[in-house]
Amino acid sequence: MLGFVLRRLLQAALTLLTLLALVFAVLRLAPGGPAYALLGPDRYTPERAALIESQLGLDQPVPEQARRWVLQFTHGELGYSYFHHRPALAVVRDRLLATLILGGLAFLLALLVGIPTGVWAAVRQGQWVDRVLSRAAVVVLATPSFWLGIGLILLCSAWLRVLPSAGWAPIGGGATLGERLRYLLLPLITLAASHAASLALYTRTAMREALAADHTRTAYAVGIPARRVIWRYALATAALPVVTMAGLMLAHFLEGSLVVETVFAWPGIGQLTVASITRRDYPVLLVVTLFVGIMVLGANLLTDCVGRWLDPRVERV
Amino acid sequence: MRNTRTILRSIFLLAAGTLMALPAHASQLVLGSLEEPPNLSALTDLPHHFPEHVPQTLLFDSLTQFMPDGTVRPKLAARWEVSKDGRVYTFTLVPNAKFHDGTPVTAEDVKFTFDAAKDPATKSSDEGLETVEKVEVLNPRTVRVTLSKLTPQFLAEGGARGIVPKHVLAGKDLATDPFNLKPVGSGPYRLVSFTPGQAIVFAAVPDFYRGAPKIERIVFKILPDQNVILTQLRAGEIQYALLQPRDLPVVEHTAGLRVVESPTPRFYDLTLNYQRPYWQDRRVREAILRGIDREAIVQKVLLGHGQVIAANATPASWAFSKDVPTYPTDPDRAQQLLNEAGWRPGPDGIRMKNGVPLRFTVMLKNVDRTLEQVFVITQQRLKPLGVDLRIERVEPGVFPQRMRGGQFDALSRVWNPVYDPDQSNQLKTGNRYGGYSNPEVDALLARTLGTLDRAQRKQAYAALQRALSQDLARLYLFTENELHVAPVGLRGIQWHPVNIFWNLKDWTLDK
Repeated sequence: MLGFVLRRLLQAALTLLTLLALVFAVLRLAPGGPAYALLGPDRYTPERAALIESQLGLDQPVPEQARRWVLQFTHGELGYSYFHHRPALAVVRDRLLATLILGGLAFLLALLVGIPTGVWAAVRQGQWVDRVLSRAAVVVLATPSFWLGIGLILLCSAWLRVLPSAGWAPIGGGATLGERLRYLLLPLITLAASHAASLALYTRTAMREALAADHTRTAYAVGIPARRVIWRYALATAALPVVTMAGLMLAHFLEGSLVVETVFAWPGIGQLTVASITRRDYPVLLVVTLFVGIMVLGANLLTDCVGRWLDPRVERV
Repeated sequence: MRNTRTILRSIFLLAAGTLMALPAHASQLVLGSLEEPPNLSALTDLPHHFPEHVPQTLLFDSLTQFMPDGTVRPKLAARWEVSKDGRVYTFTLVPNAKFHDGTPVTAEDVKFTFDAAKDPATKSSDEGLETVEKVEVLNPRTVRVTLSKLTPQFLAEGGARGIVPKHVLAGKDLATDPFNLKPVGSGPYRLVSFTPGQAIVFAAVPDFYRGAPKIERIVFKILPDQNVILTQLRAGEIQYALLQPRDLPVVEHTAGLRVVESPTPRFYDLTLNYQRPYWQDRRVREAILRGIDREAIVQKVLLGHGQVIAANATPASWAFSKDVPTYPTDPDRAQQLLNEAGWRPGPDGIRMKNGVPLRFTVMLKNVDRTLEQVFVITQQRLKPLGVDLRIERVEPGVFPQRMRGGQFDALSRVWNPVYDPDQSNQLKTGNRYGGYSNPEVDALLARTLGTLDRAQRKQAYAALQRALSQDLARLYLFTENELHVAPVGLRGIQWHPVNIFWNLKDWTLDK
């Protein structure tokens, strides 16, 4: 197992480096540049643009810029945001926390709702519970998250006025945990809904197969209680594809959802990324790439490890 | 199952918790804004439009105040004298102005601010201070500013620059100092907190030298999307925002809100690249303008919240003149003009001359939804005339480069001559905004900047607007009004062409 993890870590590091190099190059090859974005159409003059570019070191050839960035990076310096006038790391850190809280909790919620729902539907196969649940899951899965989000806001914030519609904490600070949860609830439901639905459908299919398998029938036959058969034996067999699916989802949650962040004015990384592309804020974009890259690769690694732990046969494949 | 029950119970508890009331503030106005100021220092840029100027207007006082009628009144400067040649300004500061840390505002701070804004190393904007040559402190309350040449815009534009405290900033790297996020100003409100991406909170300064502000707290909420702003208005979570015309029905159905419509000096035009041979024929320019149904555009795109313009000043500007030729929409006249100019319908209906089709591309910023609609309509209107208009939407970061490099046939964007009507850099011979050149216009531009006398400048601007319209230097389209939504109980809003928040300290909010 240790050798496997080390091998995967090395692969992940190489992937990350390639990713950073690609993003670095693509940003600089794109037309326009920070000087244009910073000056805007009317203050822009070639002289001012040249001055800004030399201040930012953008007048150097791309390989030289890359060398400087790597040098800085090895000294723990991640550069200065062109737009925010503060360290890129500080800019990203604030937003990253918001995304991690929302994404992490939404992931847990999707697991907690999706998997039991799927199991329940599979156990009551063909009965009304199964029909209602699986149809509901298809409807939720087909609902775009911006539509669901706006619908929830209109219902809970504009009409019932029981929940705040946007932001992640009351303005002015001093928020209690309860208050924070109030802000979290709607974006959490919106983000988790379609993922919970898709997990439920996935689990249902996997469980139906597992319940029909020989070893499950044997377990029933030898008189093991139904609850134990379902949650212990059948689910263990069904778990592998579900875990793979959940792992892919985890990466998606951690990238930050632009749609949900925009609808709920959640100050996360998705919004920051889009805004930084428009502003050509290279240092911020590189730090975002670095962190999102680490998280996605980490999520994949975690999925692989859990998969192997659940089913040691994977190793031999 | 036990699990399910536990989950349901937690959801119920959460729901119950949400029914607790929100804490209410004594007197607080919450503004919603799509845009976020990159930082709060007065050195970065001059405030040009909502919402940028809210933080600056609240946190920093400047030497002068640009008034709704275009005149300039004292603010931090109690009075000033101007030398005969108009190049030397001597400002006397008010005696009782203080920064938020209690230190008095002195001539040293004015000198420091102007010098810092002029210094390229600080990455500041020198807007309005371009011609400042020298700033001298005569005594703590008197400062003398020498300009390199007569600059009629200086008092309004340079005077609008917020003054920053020297004692806080001297010797610091102004581009990166934490001051940019936690500034100490001398304005009617002080900063409570700035959480990037979320909100800026301001509190009234009780001993403010021009009298204490009436509203105690101003919250500036940063919201990423216009739909979010509308929902927050409906939910009562924000009380003030800028609207698009199509948003008006939402507000009309929400109790306690009203709309304040505010004409602006902002306008849209079609800027032509005079490198293209077809634009050099005035008849083609007139034909295109007569083919664009500007009235219909104002009605359909702006839903009537705007006005067709004839030249480069709008009724909101003091320089506006009514006495300017207009070119009402007239497709028949447009056809006739194009025929006269030698553009004949080709096989596919597009007019041709010397084997070249009458085809041009309008460059727009891809974020500009208004103009996109305008030119989709225009495209349809010009087609029957045999003109093939194409639309190209480019990223805002690419737009200036293309514009200044002359890489366009025509472009459209908003122009915002805020503190002064001067637009010489875009119109005089040698400009890099399409390269229009006309000796008569050059002479008039010089006249508008040749005197400090308002009446004489107004006259020169009237002549300039006539000349621009006669020659169709650009195809002037329309001006749009700003639509502000405010609570019914908010009193004291007074229209201003640049900054409706200019007198925010005197606003009151009924309970």
